[in-house]
Amino acid sequence: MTSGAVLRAASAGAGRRLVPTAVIFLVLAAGAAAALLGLTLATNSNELFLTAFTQSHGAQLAVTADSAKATGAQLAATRHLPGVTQAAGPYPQTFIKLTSGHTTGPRPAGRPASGQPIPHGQVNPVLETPDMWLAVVGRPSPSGPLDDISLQQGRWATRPGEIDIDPHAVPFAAPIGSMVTVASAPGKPKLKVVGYASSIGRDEAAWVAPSQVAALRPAGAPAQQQMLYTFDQAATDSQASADLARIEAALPTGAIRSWVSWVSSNRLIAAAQGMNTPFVVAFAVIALVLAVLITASVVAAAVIASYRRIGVLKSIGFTPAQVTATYLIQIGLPALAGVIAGTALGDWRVLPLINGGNSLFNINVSVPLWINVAVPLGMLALTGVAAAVPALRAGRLRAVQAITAGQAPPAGRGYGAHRLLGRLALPRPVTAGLAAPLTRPARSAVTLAAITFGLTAVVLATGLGTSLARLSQGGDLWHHAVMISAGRPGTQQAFTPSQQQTVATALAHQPGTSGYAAVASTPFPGQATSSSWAASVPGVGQRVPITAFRGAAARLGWDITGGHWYSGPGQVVINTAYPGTAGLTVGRAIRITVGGVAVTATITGTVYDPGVGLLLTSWATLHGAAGLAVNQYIVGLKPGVEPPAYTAELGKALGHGYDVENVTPGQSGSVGLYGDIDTSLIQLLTVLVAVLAGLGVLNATLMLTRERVHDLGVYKAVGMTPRQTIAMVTCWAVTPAMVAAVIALPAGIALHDAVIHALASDQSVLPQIFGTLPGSVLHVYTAGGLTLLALAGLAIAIAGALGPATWAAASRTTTALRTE
Amino acid sequence: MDALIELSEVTKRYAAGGVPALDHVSLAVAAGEAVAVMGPSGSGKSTLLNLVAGLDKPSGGTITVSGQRVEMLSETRLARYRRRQVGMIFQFFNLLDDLTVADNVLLPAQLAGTPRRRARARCTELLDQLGIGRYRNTYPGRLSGGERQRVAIARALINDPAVLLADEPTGAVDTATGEEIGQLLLGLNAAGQTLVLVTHSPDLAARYATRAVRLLDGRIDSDTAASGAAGTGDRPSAGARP
Repeated sequence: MTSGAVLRAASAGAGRRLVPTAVIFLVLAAGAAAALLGLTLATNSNELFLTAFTQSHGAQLAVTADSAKATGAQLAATRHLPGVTQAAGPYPQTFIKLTSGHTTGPRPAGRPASGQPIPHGQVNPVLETPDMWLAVVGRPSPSGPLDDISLQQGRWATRPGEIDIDPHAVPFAAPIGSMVTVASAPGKPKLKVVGYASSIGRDEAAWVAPSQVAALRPAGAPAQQQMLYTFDQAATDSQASADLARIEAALPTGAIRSWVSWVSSNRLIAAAQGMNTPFVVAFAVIALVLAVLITASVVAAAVIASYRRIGVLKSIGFTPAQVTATYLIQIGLPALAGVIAGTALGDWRVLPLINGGNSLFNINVSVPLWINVAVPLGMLALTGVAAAVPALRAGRLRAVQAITAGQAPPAGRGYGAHRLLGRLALPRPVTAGLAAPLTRPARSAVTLAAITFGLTAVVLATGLGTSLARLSQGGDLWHHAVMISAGRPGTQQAFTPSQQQTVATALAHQPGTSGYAAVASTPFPGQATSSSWAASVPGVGQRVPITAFRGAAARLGWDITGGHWYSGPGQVVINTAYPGTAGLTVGRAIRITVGGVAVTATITGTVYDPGVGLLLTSWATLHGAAGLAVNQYIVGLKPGVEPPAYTAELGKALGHGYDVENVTPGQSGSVGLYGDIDTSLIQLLTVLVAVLAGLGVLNATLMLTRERVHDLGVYKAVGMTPRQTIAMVTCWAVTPAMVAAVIALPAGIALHDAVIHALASDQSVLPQIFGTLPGSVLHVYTAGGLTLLALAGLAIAIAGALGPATWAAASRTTTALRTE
Repeated sequence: MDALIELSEVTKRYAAGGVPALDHVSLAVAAGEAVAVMGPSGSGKSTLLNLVAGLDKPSGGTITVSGQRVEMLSETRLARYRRRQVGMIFQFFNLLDDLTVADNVLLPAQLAGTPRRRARARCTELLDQLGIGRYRNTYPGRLSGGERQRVAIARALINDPAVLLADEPTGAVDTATGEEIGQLLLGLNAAGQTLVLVTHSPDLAARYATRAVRLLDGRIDSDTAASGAAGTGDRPSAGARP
């Protein structure tokens, strides 16, 4: 009987006050969703990559060997080397160019290649341009000792004439069942696409039956084989370098043409996650704080607004405990529903975001269980505390006190504001509305906090979006480029002076050219070259690969791991992708002998790039060295220039004897990673924060409207029109909005600067070629933009106040006047 | 007689099918009259006043004030009507506690867009006339009941309304103060202000009104000249009970 009375009173209270009940539901739903999203994203890390790597038996090192230098038996024997825990292969491998027989549809979402070399004469990278070479491996089945290939659709290619492709790596739409042409192979054979697959190692784009590979090899290209390894120690660059050195030493000289280490893949993924962290943490904190703030104020206000009712319940015999229970239940019912809905919403929305970013790993991620438990329990606990405090207080009050408490605000508050604002030459409803919040300073503070947090989030999101866009454009870095080789692809022929002049002339007249770098690289082990072009570096080696640049090489986008790119002659950058570079630290001077010239150069920085030489320097540093010859040009394109069209036009302009190919610089660098940052996460959190802020304003205005209903009646009785009433009530939120703008704009800007600087201080994620963070990335706010943002805060406030304002305008004056 | 206020067959029901608060009431008030509307609790006195003030709408019938059909006005036009044509005086004053006396009095003028200087001059005039000029910067919470009612009267008169409607103007004050309020109203009426006054006190009606209309169960029970202050004998009225 007693509990029935409590339940009846609670359900009636919730049912009669539908708007506050709905507000509690919405606030708890939005708050739970924001809390769940924020916590999940803040705790997410590259464990997903590691999990996927382990599940698919990923290879820690993938080596491409020249079949003419190392036999299959020699390669297979390397599995017994000390430190090798597992090996797979050799698998036949080659590189192909594919064209589609279909009309090119929308390109599948691409992915950045991990640890792939820039093709300085090497024909191996997986790049996102139509004319680029794709690595194809002959695998008898998708599974093996290492590197399980994930078959997503279709079936495995087991017969000649069939091919499985990675749809993310192939730059055109190739539906299963369609035919693709291997344009680079003799006779241009056609293959049928029988399945979609992907490798966690990301170093190949297609798979065929092993017997198919030989027929796909370009004319004159060496036969290659792929070996895969795991080691007992391969967690760091130096360990990976040592592992590679052992493999290299066990094979004939020059057998290894290229390699990919999982360390770089892992680092890139971690870097991407690391870049996400500052942004996500900032937003997650804002969302959590706002959720807590709004929930507490809404719930407490809902109870306080019921004090009169509480007094009536007490007067008819409810005990203090029963009163408290009534209101905990009355608040708890919509709160529980809201928390459940919000948690479900968070799970529904978070999972696709996370899995979308990790679809490459082909693993299904779920929100950690502890988050799915902690968020609803935490929000309910917060609700309980927020409701219990005023409910307990009301329970202890005498009935008469409860009836009179929590009604019209105490006299004396806000009088000065009314007088001051009344003197302004503004319509009376506006001045009355602007002054009203001061009658309830505590509640106005909550409204102020809600709008401030919401506006701060909007300012931060806007600035971050602009900064990220500018970073992903790489500032001055080339986003697209083409590579010019003399002679056949992969031969690294030196350009004759006449050819250099031809190239310079062609580039000078080619529209769309942003700049270019001439490249002189000493050959990789095993390549035929002039013997005088052998760099000797004491403590490193007698035949050390070296790459010299003339021109705007810095704009290629490097994965700079320390220091900065060289800025003049006498400076070098060390490529730590090579073994034996551990002692070559930034600031150290080294002596280089190349082409009969001995130079002393200072190490200014380190990069990680398996595709270039151990030493990277300017042409001027090696001035006078015999054999120093251009064997490649990298040409940067202006923004908006279509690479395929440019390539075709430049090829025509150069004529015979030159090979022009698309490349995408920065693929092994970090600049491209900025595109990995999921701005949709930031946008979603921003929307949730703005919704929470709007709900906070709605609730506060609603409470104020109910408290001041009698005053509203008086205003209407003396002639305030409905429109004037709406204006006055809306202005209740305008004062906090204006104050919020004063606080939130500088706070959002400061937070943006802090986040960007936190990102820049992590040397593994931001190329240091600029020396300092580009101003264009930091200074993203304009006066006009800030004005619009301030208006956004006003918009949030007005949106929250409009509902109660309309209700106030439509309410019956006579009823309002009887409320005393 | 050209009526300033004319109610014709006015009915008001608060619930469909329920007992009407006003039942086919017809009443005419001439300019310059002081009419007391009397009756027991629930007889429809305040309802009638609210309808004339445009604070509520009738369920049937017509209400005409200064030639304007009040029941046909939109909410916005009703608000403007209340500013210009009607001055309301309530039993419990209904002043805004966070505005000073002067700001309370000025409010209808400000809502009506009256030029600031003119409004302030009129406000000063009224406050002085009502003997509360020294309280212009005081908040209502610090005033006595009689003083607050004077402020309410001043607010009601700021826009020179055609009609002054008073709902139990002395109900919340003591007898002596009530006497003062009554005299004020009498003086206003003597100066030509049309007054409709709701009261349950026959004595008040007799002393300060020229005519007394008695309501009973939503209908006009009698409509007589109020004895004492003005008027003699019974006065026939439409809608009176047979």
